[in-house]
Formats: sequence, C-alpha cells, structure tokens
Amino acid sequence: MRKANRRLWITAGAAVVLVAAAALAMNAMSSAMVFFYSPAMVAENPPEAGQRVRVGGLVVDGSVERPSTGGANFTVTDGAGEIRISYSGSLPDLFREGQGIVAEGAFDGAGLFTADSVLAKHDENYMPAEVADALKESGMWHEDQTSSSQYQTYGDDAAEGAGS
Amino acid sequence: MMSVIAISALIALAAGVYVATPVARDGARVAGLVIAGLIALGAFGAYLVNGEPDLSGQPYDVLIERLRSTEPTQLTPIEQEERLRDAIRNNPEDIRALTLLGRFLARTDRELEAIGLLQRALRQGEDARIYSDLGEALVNLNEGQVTAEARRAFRRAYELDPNIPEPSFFLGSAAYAEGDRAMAATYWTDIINRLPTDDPYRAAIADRAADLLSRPTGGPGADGEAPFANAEPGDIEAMISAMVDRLEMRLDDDPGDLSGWLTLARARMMMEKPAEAREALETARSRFEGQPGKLALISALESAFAFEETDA
Amino acid sequence: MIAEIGRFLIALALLACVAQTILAWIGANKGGKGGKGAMADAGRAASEIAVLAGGAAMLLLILSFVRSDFSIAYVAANSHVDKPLAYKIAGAWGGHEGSMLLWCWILALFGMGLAKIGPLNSALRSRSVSFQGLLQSLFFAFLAFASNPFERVSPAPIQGSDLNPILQDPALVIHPPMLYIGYVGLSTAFAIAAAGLVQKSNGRELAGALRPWALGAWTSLTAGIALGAWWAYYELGWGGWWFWDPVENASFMPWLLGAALIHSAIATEKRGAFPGWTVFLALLAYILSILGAFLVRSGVITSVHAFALDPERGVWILGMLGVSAVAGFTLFAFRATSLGEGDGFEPDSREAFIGANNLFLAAAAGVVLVGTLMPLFVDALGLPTLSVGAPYYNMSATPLMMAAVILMPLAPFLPWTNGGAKPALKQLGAAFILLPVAVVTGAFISFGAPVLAVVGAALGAWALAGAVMDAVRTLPSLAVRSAQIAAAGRTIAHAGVGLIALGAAADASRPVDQNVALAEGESVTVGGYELTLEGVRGIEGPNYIGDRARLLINGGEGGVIEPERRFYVAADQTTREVALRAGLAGELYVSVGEARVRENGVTAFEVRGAYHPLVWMLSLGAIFIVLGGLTALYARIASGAPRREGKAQAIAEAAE
Repeated sequence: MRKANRRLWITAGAAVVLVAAAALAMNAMSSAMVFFYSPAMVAENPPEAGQRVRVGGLVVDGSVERPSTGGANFTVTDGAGEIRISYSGSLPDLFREGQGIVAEGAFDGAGLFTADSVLAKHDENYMPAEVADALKESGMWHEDQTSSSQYQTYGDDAAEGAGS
Repeated sequence: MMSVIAISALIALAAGVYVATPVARDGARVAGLVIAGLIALGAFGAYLVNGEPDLSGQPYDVLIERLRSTEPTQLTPIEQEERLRDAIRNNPEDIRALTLLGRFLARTDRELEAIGLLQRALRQGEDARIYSDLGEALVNLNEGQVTAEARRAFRRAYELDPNIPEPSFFLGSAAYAEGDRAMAATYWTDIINRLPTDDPYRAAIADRAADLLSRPTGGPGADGEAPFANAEPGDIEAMISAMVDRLEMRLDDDPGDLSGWLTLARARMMMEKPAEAREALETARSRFEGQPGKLALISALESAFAFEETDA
Repeated sequence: MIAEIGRFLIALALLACVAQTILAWIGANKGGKGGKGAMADAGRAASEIAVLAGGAAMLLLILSFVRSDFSIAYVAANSHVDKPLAYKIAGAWGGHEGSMLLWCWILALFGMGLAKIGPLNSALRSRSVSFQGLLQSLFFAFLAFASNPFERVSPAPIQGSDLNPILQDPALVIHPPMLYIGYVGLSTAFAIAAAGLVQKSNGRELAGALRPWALGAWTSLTAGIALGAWWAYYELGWGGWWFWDPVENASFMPWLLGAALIHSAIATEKRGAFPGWTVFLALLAYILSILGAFLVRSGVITSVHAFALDPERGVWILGMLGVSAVAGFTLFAFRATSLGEGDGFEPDSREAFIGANNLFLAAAAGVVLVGTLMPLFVDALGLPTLSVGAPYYNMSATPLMMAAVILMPLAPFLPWTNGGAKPALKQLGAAFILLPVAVVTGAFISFGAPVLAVVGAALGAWALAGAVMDAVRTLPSLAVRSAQIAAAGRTIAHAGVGLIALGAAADASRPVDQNVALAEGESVTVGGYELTLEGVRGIEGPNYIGDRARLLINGGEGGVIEPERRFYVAADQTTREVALRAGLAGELYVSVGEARVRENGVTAFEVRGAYHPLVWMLSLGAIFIVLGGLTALYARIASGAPRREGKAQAIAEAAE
C-alpha cells in the first residue's frame, strides 16, 4: 500500500474512533448528568418529580427516624430550607446528625425525596464540596471551621474535655 | 538542639562528599568541592526554612512517665484521662481505674466507651454504684429513654443497694413512661423516705415526681383520646371541670391514689381555684399522715404552685 | 530530635535530586562525555543519596509512629497508642504527608534504577536520569515545603486521633505502595521519552528502552488497583467493587493509557510502527498520574476516599502538573519528527490491530477524563453543581473497552506488517468466536440479566477462548525460549482480561441485595441462602468496641457467618466488618448495621445481605494480569533485547 494511502486510512480509522467516543460521551453525559440542589434551591424552584438529582445539607438534629423494617428517614437543611429524605438502604457508617451529607435520588409528587444512595464522610475538616458551597451561601458555614487541621481539632476537644 | 545540628551537618557533609567524589577524582578538585559544599549548605538552608531544631520530641513512653510521676490533682482532665487509660493498659482488671474512667467518659459525652468500661468493671465484681452509673450512661446514650438494658442495670443496682437514689429514680421514670403511676410513685416515695432530709437528691426527685404525677393522665376515658385535642378554647374549661369531677369521684372510691390527689390539686390550680387546690392538698396530707415520702411530694407540688394568697 | 533529623533528611533528599538533575544533564552532554564521564557518575551518586535520605526519612517516620511521638502533627493526626503495631507502621503512609513521602521515595528509587540499569545508550541514560531528577525535585520540594510529614506541633497533644479506621486493614497496608510503584513508575517512561526527544533518539530505540519500565509500572498499578477494589468490596460494605468514584478514575486513567503504552511500545520496538504515538503515550500516562494525585489530594472533588480538603496543596500539585506537561509536550512538539515517521503496515496486520486497540483504550481514558473533570469545569463556569455517576461511564467508557476486548484475542494471530487475516481466522477457529457468544447469551437471557452483562459475559468468554487458543497454537510453534515466555505472559494476561469481564458480568446480574432489620430469630433470604439472626453480642478490640452478629446459614446447615460493627473510640468512627462466605458458585456477603428498637420494645439489627456470583473470577483475573505482566517482564529481561538495543545504539553512534 502506498504511503499516502496508508496515512489516509490510519487517519480515517482514528477519526472514526474519536467521533464514536465523543458521540458516546455526549449521549451518556446528557442522560446521566445529575444536578445538585440545595434545600434553598428546592424551596425556590424544585426539580420535576422523578428527575434524578442530588441534594445535600446538614442532617437536622433529632430528625432521623429508623423504621423497624430497615432504612431511614431524615431531614437535611442548609438554613434556608429543608428536605425530607427517605432512604431504604443502609446508611453509611459515617452518617450522623449535624453532619453534611449528599443523597442521590428523585422527588415524588409530594416533595418527599427518595434516595437510592447516601454519601457521608466523617472528617472534622471534610464537607462534601456541594454542601459546603450551599452552606456558605446560606451563611451557616463559618470559614474558621475549615481552617482547623485535625490535631487542632483534637486540641479543641481537649479543651472541652470531650471526645465527641 | 546542638545534637540535631551536629548530626545533620555530618550527614550533609558525607552526602556532599559522596556525590562530589567522582568529579574530584576526575581531577576537577575545585568543582568537586563546590558541588559538595552546595549540596551540604543547600540541604541545611532548605531544612532551616521550617525547621525547629530546638523542639524536642515527645514519645509516648516519656509522656506517660511524666504523668505517672505527677500528683493527679496537678494534671489537666485530659492528662488524668490518659493516666487512667495507662493504668487500665497495665492492669485491665483495675476496677478503680475502670470505674473512674468510665464515669469520666460518661460525663464527657462518650457513653459508648464508658458503657464498655463499666461493664468490664462489673465483670470483676458486682457493685451497686457501678450498675447505677452504667444505667445512667445507657439512659444518656438513648437520649433519656430508660431502655430494657438500662432498666436491668438499675434493677440490679437497686437489689444490691436500695439506698442509692438514681436507680429508684430511673426505675420510677421507666414505670411512669409505661403508664404505671402507682409503681412510679412507690419507687419515688420509697427513695425519698430513705434519703436523709438534707440530701440534694431528695428535693430534686420530689420536685420531678410531683410534676410528673400531677399531670393529667393520657385520656379522659376509655376512648383513649388525648385530653384537649381538637377542642375549642371554650371547651377546654368544660373538659377540665369534667376531668376534675371524674377525679373527685375516683378519689372517693380510692382515696389512696397519691397521683390522683396531685392531679386534682393541679387541675384546680389551672381552673384558678387556689383555695380548692390547697384543700385537696390538705386532704391528701392528712390522708397520708406518717408517710414522709408522699408528704414530701405534696409539699413539692405545693411550693411549685406558690399560692397567690401567700404572696399577697 | 528524630523528627528534626527526619525533616533535615527530606531537605537533603531534595538537594540531592536537584544535584542529580543538573549533574546528570551536564554528564549527558558531549562535554560530559555523553554520559560516560565523571559528571554522569556524580549524577548517579546523587540519585543514590536521594534514595538513602528519602528511605532514612521514611524509617524515622515509621519509628516516630512506633514510639507514638505526637509532637509530630502527622503522627498525632494518624495514630494512637492503642493502635495495633502493624497499623502504626502502615500509618506512616496512611495519610497525605506520609504517602507523599512514600511517593517521593519511590520516585527516587526509580531515578536510581534508571541510573544503574536504565537505557543502554549512556547519553540517553544520563539524560533520562536528569529528567527523572527534575520530577523528583518537584515532588520533594512539595514534600519539604507544603506537605512535610515531620511538621511539629507544640505543645504536643496527649493522645493522637487515630488512623481512619477504614484504613486499618491488611489490604490497605500494601495497596498504597503497589499503587504508587505503578503511578510513580510511569515517571520513568516519561523521563526516558523526554530524554529521547532531547537526544533525538530513534523511535524504535526509545520504545525498546522505555517498554520494560512501563511494563513493570503498569503491572504494579494493576495490582494496586485490584487491591483497592477488593478493599472497597469488603471494607466499605456497599456491596460493590467499582464505583467510578473520582479517586478510582484517577488511577484507572493512567492504567488505561499504560495498557495502551505497553502494547504500542511492542509495535514500535519490533516493527517501527507509530513511534510518535508511543512517545506521546509515555508522556501522557505520567501526566495523568499527577492529575490523579491532584484530584485525590486537593479536595476539589467529592469522594469517599479522598484525602482531606486542602486548596494550597492543590495549587502546588497543579504547578507540578503544569511544569511536567509543558516540558514534556513542548519537547514533543519540537522534536517528534526526529523519532521517524514509522514503518508501514497493512490494515490486517498485528500493528493495525494493536493501533486500533490503542485508540479504543485511549478513547476510554478520554471519556473517563471528561466525566471526572466535567463537574470541575461546570463549577468553574459558575453553572449549577452537577455530578457524573456510574451510568455515564457504563454508557461511554464501557462500550469502548468492550471494543478493545473484541479486538484483543485477534491480534496475536495476525502476522506483523504485511498482515493476512485469513490464515489467522482459520487458526483461531470460527467456533471459538461463535460458541461462547451463543452459549453465554442464551444462558444470561434466560436468567434475565441486564444487556450490558450479557454482552460482557460473551466478550469475556471470547477473550478467554482466544487466550486459550493463543496458548495452544502459538506457544509450541515458537522456537526461541524467551519468545515463548513472552507469548505465555501475553496469553496469561489476556485470559485475565477475559476472567474480569466474566466476573464483572456475573456480578452485574446478581440478585438484588437485601437490606432489612432483623430481630433475634428472624430471617432473610438472599441468593438462595436463608440467613437467621441468632444473636448479637458485644466485643472489645485493642482500639475499638463493637457488636458481633451471629447468623445461621440455612438454619445452621450452612454454618454460621459473623459480621461485625465496630466503633473506633479514639477516631470516633463506626465501621462495618463484612463477613464473607466464599464458594465456587458465588460469595455470600453479610454486614450488620445499627440497632433499632421496635414499638414492641424488641431490638432489631440492620442486616445487609448480598450474593455475588462468580466474584472470585475478578480476583483471579487480576492475579492473571499481574502474573502475565511479570512473565512478560521476565521474558524481556531474559531475552536478547539488550543486544538489539545495543545494535541500535551502535548504529546511532555510527550515524553521528
């Protein structure tokens, strides 16, 4: 095969693969992209019932209810709004009241959010990025909360004489 | 400090010389010297940017030796906690350390760990005080609810020593939560009977018991509906008076119902009939003559009312 | 004092790396006798000092962990007196700063490796040692000035806050070192490629020089990723092994490109095909490694196992990423022509198939990159926050990887250069294409498995059959022993890919996981097993307390299974210890969660039960790929490759 020909089919082959990959990615992105809603955004302009979204906020103290059949119901807040979440799976071990979490799922017609996954991470300095942003906007977040590194946090505990 | 600098200097020099040797051997003595010098000095400079050569380390062995040799009262709470942990590490069956640490942790919101330690202490030998602490930690862990496990702990504590106030108080609370007011009143008045009059627990339990026992019961009748639910404001008055009537009838039949008397007095206070309320308390007082525990409850409720006439 | 000596050693290692960069560069120049003179030797000596200093710092850090010296901030944040010794030691690389020290030390080890057993062409070797020194210097500077594991805290806390309990696990002790050898090992391919561009090396020589390094690094990366997936499967307790989590993607992208690189390097070395592409991949794979470090350590993404948030670190890593990328790609832009245009090949030749496969792997890496970075871009543009989850990857990356698996078994049967598909197809046997497809498709459809799983299973069977045929037909026909070993490595690794595809397909069609609250005596059925909760009792570990549930399998006939739930006291964290019951057909997976009190006062425990059919195929597949990689590496070392390279060098030197 001549050199110019060879070049042509290599280029053509590569182009086909790249176009196919781009098409796949765009198609997948448009159907699998999930937007994040803070409770304030939900209060203002709720997503359609059934649309897959992520919501997040701080778990409201005392709002966690554990039905005897399994799963859990709880409320998250960003100070500007609240979302009631129902989750039938097992909560992550790091889930607790007052902690920032992100849940993925959809709203039903009545405004109850049914989550099929809940993400939580316990770290004194950690807050899911989306939740931190939403909290900053609502004024519930104070910058100095983030600045303390772990051992300083330990020191704070020491000062209170408590380890929670 | 000097030792850090000296050791670092030696290492830096050795490293510099090692790198420079091939160059120096090749005849470029000066270039070799420069390379060695730059590496050594550069490393030192980079170290000193953030280095703290005069800050000594604090391995745990050294720390714990210091804590052991210090008078406990001189230690901060967190140091005391570590000292207790050290004692338990050395002797996992040290009941005293287990209890002290358990109590300390329970008081600093670390009930889960506290419960483990107290249970360990109890495995060494039963003790009413420890059972009581365990029960309390369990109650705190469950946000005030006296769970079955907590009740078991309190009951055992009560069996071992009925004179400790907490088991009686919480057992009474548990009975009250289940709607058994007579049992609750028995636990509370019994412990008030046993406690010396100047014990701060005595007044605290009496106040709380008087408050709880004087509350209207769950439903006005067999229908089980909550009192005053779905009622117009005008109806409430009527319902209260109906309840008072029923109570009076019941107390005629069974004048030994302390909770009934207390509720009656409180209801009359709500209907702004202080004289009749006082009358109910006086009747109860004469009825329970010679039973200091019950009388203490009556007095506690009376002082809670702070009768307006006496103020005037 | 130990802490300060440790900090000094890091500074010394940094200087040694800088010296290595400069001395080896001068040594590689003609004035430095093309890598054969004293300067190159001094560069090698500097690389040894970097390894010694970095290694000593690592040892001192481990010693500080063992001694529980909480005057070191990193130790205080990641250790506790009551932590078991093994995890005290592993804590030295369990957090950001310590793992960065490990990263740096491995970089230095590879630098020394290049200096001692690197490319045979001494100028190329010295030049690549210099480039490696540059990469080392960047990371050691980051370590010394922005992530120092010996940073002090005064007054020192009385007690440490313990290592994150989910990291207190045997797999996690070896996972980071394996992963880093992989990530960091790709730096050698970068250094050799960049050095080759400076030296205007010939493409074939360059591909030959970097291939064994890339192969070794990629094999280790495979092991690291597999350990991570295994850990996620049994430790996180979510009942899965791959979540398309950004942190997983961070290691998967270099893995995909590394897989492409080790194959394209064969075509370039043996037949001179696409040299530019091979060098480009070598540069890109390491750049993506650093990008992964950025994603994991800067806190820009939300992830389960990301390190704690720290924007300052992110800026540093982005800087290192920028320097490496600009240096590498600028060189490539100006010097790629010197690699040669590449020799020709027919569309049905082995090169063509390797090339096509490379495209699919690279495209898969591309779509993973897009998915991982999309939330960041959208965020930077101020648009509403969004996330990209598993469905995106299953719809984009998975089909591309499947395409690569379709081509994979064919390539070994095709002749080089001039091609000829006919004899190859006859050798492979049409039956081996159709049989697995038919059998598996039928089997899965009757079970009602998802389409993706059916296709995956068919592909897995196809790959496995192809690998077996490859072993049966090719191995006996090869006369040279080293070629035989190399082909054996290929068949083992390719069989591993087939096993993983099968295992993944089986797992995707598993029965629905059960998640219920059970009181004593109650049961749940999962995957044909009846699990009855016999009871739950308290347990005490060295640094945790917890509950251990005892569940009877099929009323006790199947034995008992005992998952745990642990509360790590100092870390103030709860974890689940999954209990597994492995079998040939599948694995029973049980974890226990929180207790809840029912209205009637009975306590029920949350129990999660799952059944993972054929999950052992995933582990076995990963083991096969690693074994295949090691076999190929051994073949390469044992073969006459150095001789060939030596010949190329002689030709190159004669040409000058």
